[in-house]
Amino acid sequence: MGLTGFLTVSAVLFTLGLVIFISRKNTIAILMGVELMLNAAALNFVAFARFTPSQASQLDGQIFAVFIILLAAAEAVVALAIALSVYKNLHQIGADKLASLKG
Amino acid sequence: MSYIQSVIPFVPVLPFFGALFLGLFGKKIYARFGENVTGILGCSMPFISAVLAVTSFIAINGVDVTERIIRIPITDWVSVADLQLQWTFRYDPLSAVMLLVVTIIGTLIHIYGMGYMHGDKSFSRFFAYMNLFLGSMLMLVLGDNIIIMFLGWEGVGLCSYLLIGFWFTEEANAIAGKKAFIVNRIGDLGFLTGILLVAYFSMTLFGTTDLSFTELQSNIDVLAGQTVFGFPLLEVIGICFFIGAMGKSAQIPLYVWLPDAMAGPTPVSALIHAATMVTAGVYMMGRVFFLFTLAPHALGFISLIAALTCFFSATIGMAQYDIKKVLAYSTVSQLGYMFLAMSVGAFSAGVFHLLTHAAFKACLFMASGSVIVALHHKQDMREMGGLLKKMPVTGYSFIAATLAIMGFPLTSGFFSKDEILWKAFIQGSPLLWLVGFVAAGITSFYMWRLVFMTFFGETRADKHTWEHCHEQPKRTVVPIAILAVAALTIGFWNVPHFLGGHGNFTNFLDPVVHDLSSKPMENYHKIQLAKQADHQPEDTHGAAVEHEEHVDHTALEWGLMLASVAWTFFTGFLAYIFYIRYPKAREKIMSRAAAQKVFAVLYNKYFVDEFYEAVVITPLRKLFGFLGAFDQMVIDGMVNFAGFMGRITANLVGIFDDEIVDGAVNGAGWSAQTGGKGASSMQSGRIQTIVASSLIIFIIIVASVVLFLG
Repeated sequence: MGLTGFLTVSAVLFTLGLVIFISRKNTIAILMGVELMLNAAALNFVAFARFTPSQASQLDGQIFAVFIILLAAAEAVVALAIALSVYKNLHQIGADKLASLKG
Repeated sequence: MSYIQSVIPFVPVLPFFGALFLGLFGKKIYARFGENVTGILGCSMPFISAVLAVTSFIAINGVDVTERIIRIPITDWVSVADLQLQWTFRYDPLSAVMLLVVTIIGTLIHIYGMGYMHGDKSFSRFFAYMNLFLGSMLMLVLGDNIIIMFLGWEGVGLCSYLLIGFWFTEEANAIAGKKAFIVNRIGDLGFLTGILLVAYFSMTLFGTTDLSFTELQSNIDVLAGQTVFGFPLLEVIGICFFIGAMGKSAQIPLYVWLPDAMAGPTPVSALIHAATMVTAGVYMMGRVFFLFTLAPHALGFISLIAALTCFFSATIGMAQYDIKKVLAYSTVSQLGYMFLAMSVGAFSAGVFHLLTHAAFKACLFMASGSVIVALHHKQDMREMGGLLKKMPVTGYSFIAATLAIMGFPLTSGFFSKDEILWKAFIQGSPLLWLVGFVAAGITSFYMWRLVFMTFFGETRADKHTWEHCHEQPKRTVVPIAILAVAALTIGFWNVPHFLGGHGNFTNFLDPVVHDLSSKPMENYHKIQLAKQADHQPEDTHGAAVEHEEHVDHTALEWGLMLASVAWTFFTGFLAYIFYIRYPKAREKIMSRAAAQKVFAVLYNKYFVDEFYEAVVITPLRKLFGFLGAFDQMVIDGMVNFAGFMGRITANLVGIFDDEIVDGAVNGAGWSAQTGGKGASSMQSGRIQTIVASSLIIFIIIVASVVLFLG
């Protein structure tokens, strides 16, 4: 299995995430879509690292993946806290209803 | 600092202060405390000034004769390059005499004014003006340089105008005030020209100049050599100064304002238009006598004017019925006497007549004012008569002053007028003497006519007025009586030598004013000769010749004196016959056509006002009418056309502005607004829409890069 298989999985994952992000109304679900897209990106990093010809920087992609996971965790924490706070104040978390940033 | 130096500055300042105070708070004081307090406030400043003037006069008599010119510098005034004017007061025998006249008579008239103005609603304004006048007059008298004198000169002119038109609600009074002011402007223009000539030549010849009289006197020989437009400078300046005096002191042809000035309250007539202001011209001539000494032609001109004035105004006085008008013409005539004296070089005699005239004429005016008030503001002598019984103090004072003005022996007018006539005879010409002599008789006639018509005979007043007529209160009659006594006695100050006196007044003035000892023209030549002989004319009044000439004149002096006394007695007696003893005789003479014509001419003042109306005023009006029409048609037309063009241009510019400039600005605003609105609608706030659209855009960009660049 070559690089193409990884990239295909990654692309499918990203597309799923994007579709969830755009189509779901629930904020929590949107966050999940974001997680999917992040993980697709992380998978790309790892795959490129594995198949890169240079031996000197073989671990670079893995380190990026670790950072992305870390970032995803932090983002989830903050985003869920926001979602909770929004629900507390507005009693709903439907993304189509939360339009107070309208220009 | 001697006593004089410390008090003299206060003499003019105090009345100014009083004027300011009464002008600002007078109305409130009048409303709060009434007439007496206001009047006493108004009189207090002149009174203090009078006290200071009298004490200074006593003090200066104790000063050594050579040190009697006291200059009191106050502060610098104008200091521009070569012109270094200073506020300096000058106290010398001449200004001392004037100070006495102005402050004492001024104070008496202020007190009299309290009675005369009783019940007038502008009581406080009256005293404010009178104080202002007194301050200006004192400044005129005390000024050390010509500019201060001119300042006072204009100040008294202003007060004269304000006080003539004091009851300005009546149009005639306002017009009289205007007339006085305008006629005086003509004179003042002459005076100002003279001053500017002096200033110009002083600045070009002497470097720094302060225009003071002392400087002028010491430099007069340098000025004497100058010419302006080919005429000797001093003659021109002399004429210019005299034109100023003509206006202020009411000489032909500028005398016409003075009779009309009687529209003002009587205290004003007494103070300003008889005793003080109108004599400012005489004072000024006395002040710059050294200039006139070197201007014999100017003096000749003055002689002519003075003699004409003296005679003609006296004849007009004979035919007037208004009591104040008679006195007004009498004043003009007496001023003519003063200038007559000045013009023959008898400067001290002129100033002395000024002094005595101030006393008796102020008294006459005040007494006439007393009569006018008693008769409920009637001034026509045809409605008077027999008032002596009703008003004894006023009446006897009036008679005393009349004796003085006619020159009854040993009264003040006798000494002063006789001196003038004598000098006119010996230093002028017998013709000048004859004019003065005839005018003296006429004076006596019209004065006695006035006395007989007013105080003697049967009353012609209506019954009501006659019954209500009574002597005026003390504050009115006491000043009159005081002046009457002064009018009788003041002449003893200058008893001439031939009557056993010493000419004390002349001696008193001698440190500042030297009389000429011969005819002005001869004197002038003498000075010129002395100059040629050695360049230092030590004695400008030719003492050497004096002794020879003075020997055998006593008989002539006695003769002339007796002649004029006899002549005045005769004309006075004539008045008695015509107006008391045989009125029939007068009516008989008056019924003749010729007499009536003469009377009509005199009554209408030789038609001088009408003459001026026709020759000066009407052409001027026409000229002004033409100029006004020109102004309206041409100048205004041009201005209006320019305005019209401006308006059209402005309209075009306005349209351009509205449409294009504003359009650009508005368009820019509109497009920004619309663009903003459109752009803001993209900000839906819906995160999913945003992400979706950015995805689409991203795809479009990637697709276009791949398709077109790849």
